[in-house]
Amino acid sequence: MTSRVVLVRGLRDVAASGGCCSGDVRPFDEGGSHCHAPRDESDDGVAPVYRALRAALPGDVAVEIVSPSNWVWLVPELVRGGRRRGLRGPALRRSVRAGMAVESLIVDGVVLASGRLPAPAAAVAAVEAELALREAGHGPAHRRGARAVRR
Amino acid sequence: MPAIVVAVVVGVLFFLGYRYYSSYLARKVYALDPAFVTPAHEFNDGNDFVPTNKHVLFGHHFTSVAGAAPIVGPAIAVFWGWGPALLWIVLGTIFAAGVHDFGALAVSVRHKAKSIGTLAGDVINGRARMLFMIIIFFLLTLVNAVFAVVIGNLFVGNPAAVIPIIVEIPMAMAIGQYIYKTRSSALIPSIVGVIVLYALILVGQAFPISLDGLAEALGVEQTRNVWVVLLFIYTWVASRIPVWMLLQPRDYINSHQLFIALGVIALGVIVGMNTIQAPVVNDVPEGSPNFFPFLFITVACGAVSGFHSLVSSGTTSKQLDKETDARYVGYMGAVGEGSLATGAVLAATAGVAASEVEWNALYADFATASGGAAGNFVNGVAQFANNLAIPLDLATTFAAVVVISFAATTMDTGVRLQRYLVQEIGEQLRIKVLARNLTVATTVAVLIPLAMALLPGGGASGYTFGVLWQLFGTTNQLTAGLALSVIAVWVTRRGRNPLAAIIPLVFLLAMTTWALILNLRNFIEAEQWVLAPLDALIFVLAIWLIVEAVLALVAARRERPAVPVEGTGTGEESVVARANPDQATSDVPLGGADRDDRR
Repeated sequence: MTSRVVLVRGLRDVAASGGCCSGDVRPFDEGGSHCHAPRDESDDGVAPVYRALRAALPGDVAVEIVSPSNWVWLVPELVRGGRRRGLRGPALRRSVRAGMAVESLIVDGVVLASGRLPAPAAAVAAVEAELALREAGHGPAHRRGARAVRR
Repeated sequence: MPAIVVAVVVGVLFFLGYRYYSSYLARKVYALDPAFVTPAHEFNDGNDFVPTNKHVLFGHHFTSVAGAAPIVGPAIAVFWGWGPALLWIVLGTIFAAGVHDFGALAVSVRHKAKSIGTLAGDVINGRARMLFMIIIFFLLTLVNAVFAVVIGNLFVGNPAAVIPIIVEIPMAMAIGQYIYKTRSSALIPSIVGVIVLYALILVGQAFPISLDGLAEALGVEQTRNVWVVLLFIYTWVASRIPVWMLLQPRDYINSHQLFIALGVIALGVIVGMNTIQAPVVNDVPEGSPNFFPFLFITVACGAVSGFHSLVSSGTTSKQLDKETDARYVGYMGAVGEGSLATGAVLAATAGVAASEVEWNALYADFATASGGAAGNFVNGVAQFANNLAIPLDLATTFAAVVVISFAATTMDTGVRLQRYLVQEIGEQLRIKVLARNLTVATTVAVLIPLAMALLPGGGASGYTFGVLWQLFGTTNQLTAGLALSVIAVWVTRRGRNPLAAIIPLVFLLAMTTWALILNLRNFIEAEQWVLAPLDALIFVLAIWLIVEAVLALVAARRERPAVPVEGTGTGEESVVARANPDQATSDVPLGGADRDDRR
């Protein structure tokens, strides 16, 4: 894998996990509409952005969807990415906080969007631009802080 | 025996189990194929089906299986001595839970990531699906009942924990609103939430809340029962509000608490060098339940828990990136739960008492041991925290807050799941009011476990909590038995050796039916007319399960191919399927060994 794109899910979309004998479980797949109805995409823009990215990006670019509550994985990922870019102190903290927000878009630790995902086409363009910059040798080490892409 | 030595030995055994036994399962029993196109890739929709990094997925899986249940069971089970309890936790984790959790994941992945209830219908037959639904109904009823009693007992024993736990509810809702409105990171608000929660312990100690007066005014003999009623009123409301509003932000707080508690136990054991005060095998008083078979239904979560098959096949299987990741996610999830159960054994044997005499007083008989189990764990963890220079009274309330937080979340989601199931049953039976009316469905989901928590036994002495806990363990083991039957049938149909699944299956069914028979006799003799019919019903389900499992296995043996269906190899077929997803068919007209493997 040469690069990793991370999409942080929206708050509404993540089912809670309550530990043993509860949590995000599904006894059956079929049944009434009440029974684990499909997630509503209008609540969370992650799915269309994910599909667009997966369709547009080459196979060696990993695209991950992560729950915002999975801080055990997200924080080291963001810290590693930030440190690779030369971020330290308050700048690194800001970058980590931005990346931990719901509906964030992160490319190798660079936070492209925080708090709201761009439209799928804009997200693809932003990620491709970021990856192109890296390939052209103007890697993330030359930049500081998070860059937000808005819808 | 120093607790640290036991912890290290158990850690080494778990490592060996993962290194060698799970490797055998992956190669020879489940025949994982690194090039198999998983449902996460085949149906990749960015919603339910998403190929996910195995470490990310492990985080999701582990937090969905680890909670309060592997704490209470082991804390009761040390009544028979720490040796049998720990032996069952270690052997159960390595040879039963690992096979079960990993197997449910592996089978589900080979069947479009279908849930275990659906798979029971597909792999065995339609009756098995109905059986599964009934067992889950009882399981959820008992989960909600036992955790209401656990929380009630802890509130009575730790009145200083009441204020922090009550304030945690609006605080979690405020955090949820803050994150939703500002769309910012949950990390800092939830850490602040944990700090405020622990600061509130001081307030709780200054103003402990006891409902003794209210219980007396209402004429209720046990204060715990007042708490139980209040808890079910709370869950009636909580299970109806959106997940993101309360449950999820509280989960953020809980996720920090899980790591804090595990860290406190580990550090406390290392720093304090506490020694185990309980006997290896306890000489239990006459008339106590024997550890054969009751130990094996007292510790379900922590040794083997059927609930994990619902997590493995429900959500985890839809996110598995590579089939080979199933070993790490599924088996390690079981090992993680076993580690938590080991921590509970250490807290209830090394932390809770300073001498064997003191320990014997806490575990004088089964009723005392089971009623005080959660409190013993709390006091044990408090002692470990005290080794780290935290004042004992503060540490005790801290440990109580952690356990109550987990148990309350389990109740919230348990009642919510029970509501789904009540609606599902309403739909099957064409009872519109149950299927469509949320208020009715929620009320039914609350009233049945409430009755279970209040009615059994009655009288001044109440009932032995351990008995209710054992019924919960029994239904959990039956769920595991059904999942293991599905796994065994699936493996047999592929011409592979199914013993890895059949041995724990036979053992679990033997222990549960044996315990059910003994309990039925005891309940009838004690004229416990709530528990006796329930026990009889669960016994019928167990027999039904045995019949279905035997019939399915006999049929599977007839169908199995002469040459084992290997899942490993070059993976060429999987590569073709990946390149031509339209031709990839994971769908499952089951009955043939080679028709359901999408290769």
